[in-house]
Amino acid sequence: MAAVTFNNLKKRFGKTEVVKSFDLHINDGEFVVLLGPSGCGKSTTLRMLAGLEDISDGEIFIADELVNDLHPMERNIAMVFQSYALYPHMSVEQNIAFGLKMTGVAKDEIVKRVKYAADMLELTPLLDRKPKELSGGQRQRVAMGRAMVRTPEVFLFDEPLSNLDAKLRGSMRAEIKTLHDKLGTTTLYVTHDQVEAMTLADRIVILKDGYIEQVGTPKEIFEEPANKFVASFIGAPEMNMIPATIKKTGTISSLVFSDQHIDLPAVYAEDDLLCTLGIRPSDLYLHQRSIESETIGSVKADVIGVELLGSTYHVQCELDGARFIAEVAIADDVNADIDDKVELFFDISRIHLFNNETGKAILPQMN
Amino acid sequence: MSSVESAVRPPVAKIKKRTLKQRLHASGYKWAPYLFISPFFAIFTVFGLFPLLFSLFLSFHYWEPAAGLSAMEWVGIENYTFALTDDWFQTSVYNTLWLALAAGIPQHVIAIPLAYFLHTSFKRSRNTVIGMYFMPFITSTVAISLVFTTLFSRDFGMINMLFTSAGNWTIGDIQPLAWLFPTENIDWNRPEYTKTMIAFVVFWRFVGWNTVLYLSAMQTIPKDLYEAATVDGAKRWQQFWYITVPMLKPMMFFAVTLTIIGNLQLFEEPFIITGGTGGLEQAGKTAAMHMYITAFVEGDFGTASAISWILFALIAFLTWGNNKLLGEKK
Ligand SMILES: Nc1ncnc2c1ncn2[C@@H]1O[C@H](COP(=O)(O)OP(=O)(O)O)[C@@H](O)[C@H]1O
Ligand SMILES: [Mg+2]
Repeated sequence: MAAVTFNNLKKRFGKTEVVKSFDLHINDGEFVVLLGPSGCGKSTTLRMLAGLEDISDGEIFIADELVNDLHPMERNIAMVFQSYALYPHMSVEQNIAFGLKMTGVAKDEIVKRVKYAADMLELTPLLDRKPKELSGGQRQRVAMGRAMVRTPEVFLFDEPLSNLDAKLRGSMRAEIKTLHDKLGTTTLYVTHDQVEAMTLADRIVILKDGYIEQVGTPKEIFEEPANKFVASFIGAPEMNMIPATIKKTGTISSLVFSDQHIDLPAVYAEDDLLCTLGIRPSDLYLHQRSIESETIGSVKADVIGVELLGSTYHVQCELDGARFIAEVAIADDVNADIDDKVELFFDISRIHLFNNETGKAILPQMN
Repeated sequence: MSSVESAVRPPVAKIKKRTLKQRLHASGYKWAPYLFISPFFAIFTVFGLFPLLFSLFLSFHYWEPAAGLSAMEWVGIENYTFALTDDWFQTSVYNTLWLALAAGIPQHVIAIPLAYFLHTSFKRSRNTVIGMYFMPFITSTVAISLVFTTLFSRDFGMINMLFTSAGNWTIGDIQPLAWLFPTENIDWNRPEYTKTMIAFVVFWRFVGWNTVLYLSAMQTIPKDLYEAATVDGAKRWQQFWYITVPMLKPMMFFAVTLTIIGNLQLFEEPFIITGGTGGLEQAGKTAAMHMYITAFVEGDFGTASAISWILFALIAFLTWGNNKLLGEKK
């Protein structure tokens, strides 16, 4: 096991820079997820760590050793590919044993380790099969077994679940989590699926266009998004974004809409600045009594649609030309209908304010 | 039960009488498909099936074509027994098999690593290089054979010139390479060299073709597998041996089958190199040449047909063996 450090890592393909100044420290045994939309440079970063892609600039350390110029094998990492990359002409057993055989591990040791991995992943009855005779989930487990037997310092996963159907994805996710809990190996996991990231990660790194947007625990990322991109990328349905103006009158800051305003409990430095109010659909309520907080705010909006989604309603509203959704429980006495005007209540401490120009979160003044 | 059924059945619609025109129109839909595929069957029957059956028929007859069709004489399996016991035919089959192995095996043993080398080492210039390797395959056999005959000529050929100059190379009094190279011109037409020479020409001609086949198969092997193997610690030659070669098996089966068929029917190269005679002591006479000579020089079409069917059986047998060896296991 080992810590991993990236120092100002960069990758250029020709003239286009796809990874731009990537700095990160992964602690020994930590499970870190690289999350971002497709094409943002996640795989490239992972492949540079694996040694499958040259590093254009910067440094990578594994356990305090500079690995920039080391062969993938010497880096002591193991990787699970999106396609699983199982050797089609080899049996499950041979697939798992291949890496050990290549590195000259003794025969009886190979047998022992393959058996251990196969038992752990419930592959023992399948050892003689060829990959094409396995289901998607079984192939996935073989790929994990192949990575596991080499007892690497770092596990790398590149979208390992994206070829599975939704149901299987859930159970494989749990298996990966269990495996990590048992082995405690430092893990870097790439995905574009926020649910995977939220459930698996100790820490999430959000990437966009080759830049790190935010690093934090799943809770931090969800509750304190550093900018508009992270705020709308995480969470489903997406965070509502409503234009508003932040004003400061004496020592009181307030948020002003065209014909209503909310007084904010905290004080902000900004005055008379057009910004964006971000609030998650699940944080909006139709009744004040549903919220337990001392700082309750509300806005009035026009209802333009109501959708039933099983256990919740999506009430679609419009305010100052911006459309947004309130996700309310069926139990919450839904008194809204199309063309009504409703008052939506929320805990003011759960709102987010973003600077329209920089996209960054606007934070209250410290005092 | 049946009464219930008939009671429930809806009334049958009255069958309308159709006019002649309508009926022709409707039947047109029936025979039109056959009309449209008939050109293939017509051409296949005339140029494929008929010669096939006719040669089978011929192989059981004695026939001198000059005397007309009526001169055919049923001889049973005599043509077959004659061919099989004929020394010259046996020699030609031996020559054919010898050439098939000597020209065929190196084709694949060299083409596969060569293709791997091209696949991994060339990026932009790959197509140019492939084109160069492919050239011999599309060049006329006659031209190639003539070029090689000239190269191998005894008194003025390049090959002899190179070999003897190496053999006669002297430092002071000694000739350090004389044990390896000849010091006098070699007569490549001597029977012990004929087959080697032909095999070399055939090898040279087809190695590029096989390289292209293997290269195209290599391009379909997913890059992921090599990356996984790299991470697994496999060195380049190990990746070649454990990934590339096994993944090439379907293409090997295909390419070796083509080689078997092509080499057992070898005709043009030996024919031109030996001036149509088969060379001294028949050393360069292949089964196909023997068949040709039997038919068109000696005029014995019955035996020639029998030979062609024996050759067919041999090819079928070897292809079956190849299928056992390299074909997909079920
Ligand atoms: N070998 C390559 N050559 C050129 N561009 C590449 C190469 N590999 C990836 N890219 C580009 O780099 C960007 C990041 O790719 P990648 O890291 O695979 O994204 P993802 O986050 O979806 O894994 C993409 O725009 C992609 O087109
Ligand atoms: Mg990717």
